[in-house]
Amino acid sequence: MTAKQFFKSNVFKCLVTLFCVLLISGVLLTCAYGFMEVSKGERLQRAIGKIYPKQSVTIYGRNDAGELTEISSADKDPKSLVAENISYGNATVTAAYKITFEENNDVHYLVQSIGKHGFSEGTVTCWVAVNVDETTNSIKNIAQVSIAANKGQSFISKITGDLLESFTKDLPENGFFPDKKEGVYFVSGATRSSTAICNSVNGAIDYVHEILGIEVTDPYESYAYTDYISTKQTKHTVSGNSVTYNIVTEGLGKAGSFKITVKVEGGKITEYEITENGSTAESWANKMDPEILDYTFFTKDGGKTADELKAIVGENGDNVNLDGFESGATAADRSHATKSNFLCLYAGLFATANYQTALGGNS
Amino acid sequence: MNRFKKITLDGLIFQNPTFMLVLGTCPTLGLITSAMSALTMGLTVLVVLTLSNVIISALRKVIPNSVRVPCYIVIIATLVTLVRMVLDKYLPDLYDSLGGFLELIVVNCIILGRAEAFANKHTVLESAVDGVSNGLGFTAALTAMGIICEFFGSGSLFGAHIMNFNVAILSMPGAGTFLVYGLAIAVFTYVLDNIERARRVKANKLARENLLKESA
Repeated sequence: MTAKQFFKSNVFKCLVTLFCVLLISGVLLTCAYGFMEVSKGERLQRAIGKIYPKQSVTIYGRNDAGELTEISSADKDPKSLVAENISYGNATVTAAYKITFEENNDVHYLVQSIGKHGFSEGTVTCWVAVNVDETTNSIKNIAQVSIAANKGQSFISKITGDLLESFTKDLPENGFFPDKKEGVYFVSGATRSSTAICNSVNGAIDYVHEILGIEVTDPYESYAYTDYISTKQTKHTVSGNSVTYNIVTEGLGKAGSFKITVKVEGGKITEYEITENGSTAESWANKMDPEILDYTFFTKDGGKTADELKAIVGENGDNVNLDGFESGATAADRSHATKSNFLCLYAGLFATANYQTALGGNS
Repeated sequence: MNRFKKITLDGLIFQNPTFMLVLGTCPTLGLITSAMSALTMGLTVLVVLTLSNVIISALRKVIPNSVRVPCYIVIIATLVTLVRMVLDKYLPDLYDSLGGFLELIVVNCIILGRAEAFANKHTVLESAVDGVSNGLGFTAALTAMGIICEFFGSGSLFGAHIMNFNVAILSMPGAGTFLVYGLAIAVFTYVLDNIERARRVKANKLARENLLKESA
């Protein structure tokens, strides 16, 4: 085929037609995009508008110099107050904005926080609006909590507005919400998702404390073996020479948070009870060491001491796989719940190793 | 004038894309749980269908036969993108409610089907009427089913709460919408068949009377 024949052929006509259609479409779409582009600032305003419907709000983020700046709908790249994700134990704060209102003098910090230890170790991401008093640099209350996303939370539909509202009613004394309190802060049938939501809210509170420069004293700061202990939720009472701990552990691997009551007298465990088993399912809880499940491991032979538990959990509390651990049960009986076993043993170590410290300190 | 009446009635009733041709099933099953989403999707398809029919009809003598389908797809995709931009900019709530189904209009059988079966063989005006009537037929069908699903499934109408009683299955995309869609097709076909039969009986009666008059 010669060049002349090609230019007269149907193939050429088809190519030109296709090219022209594509070109016109491309030009048209480019022009339309120029007129109707929705900037990131506008998208952010829309998203925040859904959290505060029927209210006129001004949103503040930060500029390149890190200073507080108002975000307008024309902003192409609005920056949140959080430059990089910040982790606070069981939560990670990914974004935050300061919100002011036209109707009143309220100031909110709207914090996006990912709560850990949800169902099957998934997460729940929440927008938490924290109402602050800037004159006294304190948190007034949680204005609202809304779920933005979740990872692997099959029962998240059970979470109702009532649960989210329960966070807005009272701020607990120490400023943080217990992950499970009967009636509020958790929904039966979605307890692990509720835990993740609670962690998310606590993460937001942690962040706002930091922003406002509020020093939160950790009562267990001087205690040893706190790596897997939720010190915000753990409590203890002293009576004579006995210390009773209500320990809340962190989650570890597929094992969730455990709630354990331990009584220590003379450095030995005299009572031990798992009040809430964090294993992800009943079948896994049943795979735990039978002597740990019925607590005899801790109380037999006069009660376990810190040294005995250190020999199992490790001097630094890092023998997570419990290598060399022997109990009355066979290894096969506990081969599927190592992390759950470890958390229970670690809680025992925390209680015994800090016995003297607890006796000398306040409850 | 009869020609336009026939095109209009075909699009609205006798060749209704949803009930008679069973086209555009994907958005139908996905969106009729809410009357507002159904209405918005219907109107969006109406706009895209009318514009694509007009453009394709206007270009029918320019576009070579062998590349007509790629050209149609590019034209339809451009129109869908434009509508998507308009909704995103000016009606963000509706844009959010349509979700991924908005983009899927590009491959909606009704639009490509009307382009191929009608617009590339008829004038611009006829194609425009065909687009509007088919679009209205689709919108009416979706909205009617949306009203049924939302009213009985959620006890509300266009988002306004009306009653506490509801049949939960009807608010579920999938099982509930399939059920309503199937029943709606059955009812529509039954009514249309009866009308057609009554018309035939009436025509036959008239013909018989005329025959008797002539023979007398």
